Amino acid sequence: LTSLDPLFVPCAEKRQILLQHLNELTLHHAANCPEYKRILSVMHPGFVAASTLADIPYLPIGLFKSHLLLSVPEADIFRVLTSSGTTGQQPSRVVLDRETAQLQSRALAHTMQGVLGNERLPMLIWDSEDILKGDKRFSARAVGILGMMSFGRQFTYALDAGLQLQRDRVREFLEKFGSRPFLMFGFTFMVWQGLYQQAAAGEFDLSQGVLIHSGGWKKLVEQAVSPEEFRRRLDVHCRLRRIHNFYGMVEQVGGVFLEKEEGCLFPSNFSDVIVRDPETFRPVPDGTPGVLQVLSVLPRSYPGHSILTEDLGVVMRENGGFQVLGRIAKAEVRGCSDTAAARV
Amino acid sequence: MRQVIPLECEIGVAELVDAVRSAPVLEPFSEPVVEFCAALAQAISRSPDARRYPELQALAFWMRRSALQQLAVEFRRLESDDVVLAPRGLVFHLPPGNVDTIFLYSWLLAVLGGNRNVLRLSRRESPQVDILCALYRDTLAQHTVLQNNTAVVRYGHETEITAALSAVCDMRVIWGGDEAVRTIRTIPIPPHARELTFPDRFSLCAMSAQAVVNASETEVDKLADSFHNDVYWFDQAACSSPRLLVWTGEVDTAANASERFAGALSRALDRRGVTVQPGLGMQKLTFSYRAAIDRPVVAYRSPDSRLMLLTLGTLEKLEREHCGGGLLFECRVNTLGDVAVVVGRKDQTLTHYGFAADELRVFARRLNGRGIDRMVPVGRALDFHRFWDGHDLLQEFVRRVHVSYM
Repeated sequence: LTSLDPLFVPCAEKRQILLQHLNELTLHHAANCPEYKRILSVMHPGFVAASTLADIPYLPIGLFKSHLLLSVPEADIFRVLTSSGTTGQQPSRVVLDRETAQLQSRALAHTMQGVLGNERLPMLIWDSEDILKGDKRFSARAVGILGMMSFGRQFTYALDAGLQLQRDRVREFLEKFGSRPFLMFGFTFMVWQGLYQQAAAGEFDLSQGVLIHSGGWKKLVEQAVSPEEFRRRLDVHCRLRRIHNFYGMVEQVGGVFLEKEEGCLFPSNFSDVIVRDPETFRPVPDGTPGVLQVLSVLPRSYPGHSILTEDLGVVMRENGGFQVLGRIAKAEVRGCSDTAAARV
Repeated sequence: MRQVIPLECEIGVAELVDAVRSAPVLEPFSEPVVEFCAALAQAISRSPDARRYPELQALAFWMRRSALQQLAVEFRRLESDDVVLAPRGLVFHLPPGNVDTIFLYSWLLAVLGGNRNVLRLSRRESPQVDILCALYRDTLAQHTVLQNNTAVVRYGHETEITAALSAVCDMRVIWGGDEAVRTIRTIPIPPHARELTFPDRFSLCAMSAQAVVNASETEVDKLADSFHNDVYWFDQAACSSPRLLVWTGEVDTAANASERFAGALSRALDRRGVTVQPGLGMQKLTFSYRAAIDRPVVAYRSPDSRLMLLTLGTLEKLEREHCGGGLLFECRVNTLGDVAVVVGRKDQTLTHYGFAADELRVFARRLNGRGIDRMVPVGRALDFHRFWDGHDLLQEFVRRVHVSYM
């Protein structure tokens, strides 16, 4: 798959290759992860092979919060990734061995080169250096930054530990590198509150920069900032025009979905999406919104090659180009057990 | 805190307690109380707003005049020549925040016993509670003797209010989850006061496989409709909503019965237009996958997200944690008696189909207090009754005064 052009892969051919890899992974995990084997025997009794991508068994993403699933001997564990998770919520945990970690970074490199080119660019990071220290190192934010660092050099952190804008550092970075292409990376909300909200309009000229950003829109939606508005305002604010959002998750690192045309995310050569009806869990036709299922050929150390997310999305293009529409609203169940009273 | 009954206003604890204490003490089942309750029931059954909610209509039916008269008869039977029943005094009720009618059932049994009442509702509002409170206030206008008898207040997590009200009550009633009971129990009540708690419970259904196989098509559809009410009315989250379906009989018979019943249940869901929010559907799916790993699940069936059926290979070490919303564990056993070994203190209601009264009585004796407080036919799981959680609520809210004259 790495030999194929990262920007253009004929669909049918790519999907055929994915199917073969994913079928192989399903059997690999069934043979090496006892929990996965149990699920397969209960949910898909007699499963041998899928004949379409939609038939590949999936795991609901919440399973990674409750269970540590591994398909490699414990001795081979190289790293355990955790999701940032909202307060009070159990974070997801994902186990990597060296092989899977390597596959992830190679896949990410291949995908990113499609928009960044082969040269490592000076890199301005919209976060604090502190996020890479101590036990925060393997949080989703840190993993994202570390992953992207392999495409940059001359790393400069735009924010301090209190997430305050470091004006002097940014100015210095731009004086040195701002007249030629440079790379910026950050979580969407960090970029918004660090760059847009703290820098004055016209303070920085980022017209030579490429911004790669990721992470939920939830906080921005609360402030009524849509993806379109985000782009428009950054353009006006600091002449930043090359902006690529990506959709990814700690449960499937490496198989990122990158925004290549405005508002449309695309699967990489290593990944694909399927949209399912939230009531029947059956695939829906393109153009119909539903629950996003993500496929990736990278996870070998844990059974995360096919995951049903809790995000809503819609496929807009025949080659899998899609939009993320947000999260499924949390269920509020009535009942005798009253959690509110528990805090009286 | 916000008072919603008798008047809508902000009120302090001292003022509230003074007002309730100023109300006349009534005798159990006194005329004015019965009149008021019957009038309230009538108001609920006639209100166009309240008619949109089946659970409010069930409440109105439960407290209609003839039902109250029947309760009065049963109450008198608790008395005898040497026993006079007397109110306990001031009852402080802490109903659950999200089953919208329980506060009125709790209040009803207490007020019929002649008690004065303070009820605490959480700050979470619901149209059902608002409708009931508005109808209560309207009815009060014609029944002024009840004016100060009962105060209903809303407040959040203010421990000091709960403590102040607990300090003056003669009886405290805690409905709600184990956590709520545990937390509130740390707040003292007077030495003489009595406490009644309704913690988390688990409920199940037992069906005779042969009876389901033998039943006519109409009968099975009716059974599925009734079962639907038990499971889906409160998102399967009421204490008495069944979460486990036990089939008794031979392996083949049970398989046939289960398939027949699941089909009928799907049709019932279509007839009733049941839908499941996507968030709940995902929650149930995730729960099913977790159960497939952690529990002795041997099969999974789900026509769509409304109904998920997980077949257990054994009832041994039955886990009772549940996500609600239309997910059923099912298991086959030879006879009803085989269920007894897994029944525990937490188990409340057994809904049943296809068993003779004697079989159920034998089963109850065999359990001998191990668990299960009520056995009712399928369809009646959510019906309130004076006998609840092993208590006789007609008796609980009154003291027995012993009068010996020999």
